[in-house]
Amino acid sequence: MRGQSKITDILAYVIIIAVLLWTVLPLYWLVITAFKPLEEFMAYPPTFWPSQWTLDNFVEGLVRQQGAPSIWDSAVIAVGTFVLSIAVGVPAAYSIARFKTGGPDLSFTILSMRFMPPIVPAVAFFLIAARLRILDTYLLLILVNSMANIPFVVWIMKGFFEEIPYSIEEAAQVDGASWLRLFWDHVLPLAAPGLVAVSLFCIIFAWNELLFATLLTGRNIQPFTKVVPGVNIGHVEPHWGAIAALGLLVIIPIVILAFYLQKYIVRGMTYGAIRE
Amino acid sequence: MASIKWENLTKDFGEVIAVNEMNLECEDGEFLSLLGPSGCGKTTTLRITAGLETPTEGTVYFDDKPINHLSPRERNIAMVFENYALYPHKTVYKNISYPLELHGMSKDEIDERVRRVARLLEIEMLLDRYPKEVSGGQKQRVGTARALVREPAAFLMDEPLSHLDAKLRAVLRADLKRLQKDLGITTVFVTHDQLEAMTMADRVAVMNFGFLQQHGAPMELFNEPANLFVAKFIGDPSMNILPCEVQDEGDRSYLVGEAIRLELPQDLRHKVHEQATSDKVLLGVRPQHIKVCLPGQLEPNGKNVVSCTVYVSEPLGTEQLVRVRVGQELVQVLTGDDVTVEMDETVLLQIPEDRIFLFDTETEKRIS
Repeated sequence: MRGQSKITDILAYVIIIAVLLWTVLPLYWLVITAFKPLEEFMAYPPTFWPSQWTLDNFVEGLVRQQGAPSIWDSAVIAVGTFVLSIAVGVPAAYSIARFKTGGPDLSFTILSMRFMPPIVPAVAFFLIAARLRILDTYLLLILVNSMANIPFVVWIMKGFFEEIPYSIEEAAQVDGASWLRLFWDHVLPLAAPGLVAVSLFCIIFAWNELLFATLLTGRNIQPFTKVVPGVNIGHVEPHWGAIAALGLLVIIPIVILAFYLQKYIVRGMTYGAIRE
Repeated sequence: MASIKWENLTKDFGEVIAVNEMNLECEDGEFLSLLGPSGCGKTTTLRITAGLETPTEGTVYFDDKPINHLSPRERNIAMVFENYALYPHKTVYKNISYPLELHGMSKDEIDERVRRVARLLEIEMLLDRYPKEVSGGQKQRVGTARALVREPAAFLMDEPLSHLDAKLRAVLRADLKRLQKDLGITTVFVTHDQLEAMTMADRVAVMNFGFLQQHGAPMELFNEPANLFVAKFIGDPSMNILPCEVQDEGDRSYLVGEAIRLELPQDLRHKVHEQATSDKVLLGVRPQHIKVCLPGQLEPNGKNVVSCTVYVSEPLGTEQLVRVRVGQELVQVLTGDDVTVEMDETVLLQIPEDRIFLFDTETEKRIS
């Protein structure tokens, strides 16, 4: 069957290359467009390698088009969302996991709130926020993004907490640890993989969020998801170079974060310490 | 050091009553074993003592002071768990030092104590390893070290040896017993293995279905079991139990069962008439006490002889475990290697008068 395996091999390679191109090509395009001068990125037919490398687009995007402040706004919202979601979600998850708070269905009820498309309550949020005079504030966006993330945090962390053998916590109690102490010393380290995963998720979600970023903001808060589409040459033509430059810049922090944190997502930390 | 007292201890989990009005004491420095089959309430009692469960009723005392209201960390006890419960994310050293760190001891003192205990339990070379890099027996020692390092008022051990292989268990049984005697710390040791309880403890408390059956020194339980359960649970191979009927003939009485006719010793005779609820009783005799003789080897006083056929014989080295058919029942006899029997051979068993136990069929209490 030599001929057969050769055909499947070729097919496999073709598919892999196709998928790679599908994912990598846009990224590649983004990078080269960011460094192309205006005449080049507006030119047709397009070039696949910059004839000139320039940083003009970065300056254009960050300074003249207000890209820098918008990245800052997004950062504030992302970090705030992460802090609030974890601060609320993790203790809730622990409480449900260990003390069965709210009965057997509470965690699913919380999760089910995520099933609802965010657009559904969007108008309601607008009206409530207007009434409370918190429209166009960091607070509002942090709250709304957290609302979307907390169910996920609870659901995932509950699973991780339940995997930690309770006898470890009992041993810590007998050894003399208070609840808070044993939570910090044992529960969190052992649930670290889950914690890292949900933290990353919260940050990425809030960072990329578009709907609430446009709907619930005005002149004060300008997340980059709202600003970047409006980066134009003149009034109509998108400034692709600046857009690409900003796009590249906003990807980088996430990639670095994920890369750095992946070593904490190590499964099997409890293996062998408890005789199952 | 502390004495422990359990007073009217009851724990019910809704449908199941795990511990039923238990009254028991453990003296300061004593090694007490809670012994019984799975589900008898021994682990629940231990956990209540540790403060990990609250009793439904009753009080636990340390040195005559009630401690029901104290949380585990306030009780100054140390516990060794059945599944070791080591901290997987900390090294062996950190596992052992953790309780001391919690109590704010100085680094030097912690180091000194940890190393001392590690040396005692021969795990010094493991201090830098993680729990998952260490064998079962070693994990058990680490758990014990963590308990020892604090020098608590009492040790609570929940079946610490049950997941180890037989040879290792034998070694650790001796080690733990010696350790306890050297340190003199009050120890409550839960196990389902009667051999562990008998060999290690000063006193054994046997439990079944949440009830305390009997407590006393190991040999006391062996020689004077209070009821059928204790008689059968203690001793390996376990006691033979044969149903009989008491029949009076003049001023003698006989125990008559299927293929058995034994004379009832006079001292027991009175007690049977006083205590038994009916004339049906259960005859108990330990395999070690039955003599096997071939026909023709009978002793001059040929009393209490039972004829039977050999079912199977299991050589154990210097001893033999012979199972014989007495009527419908299989009786176990532990005999020396000087007796040779063949399968299906007819042999005679002689049951010494002073080794007979009688139990009331209904109450299952021993008639004594």
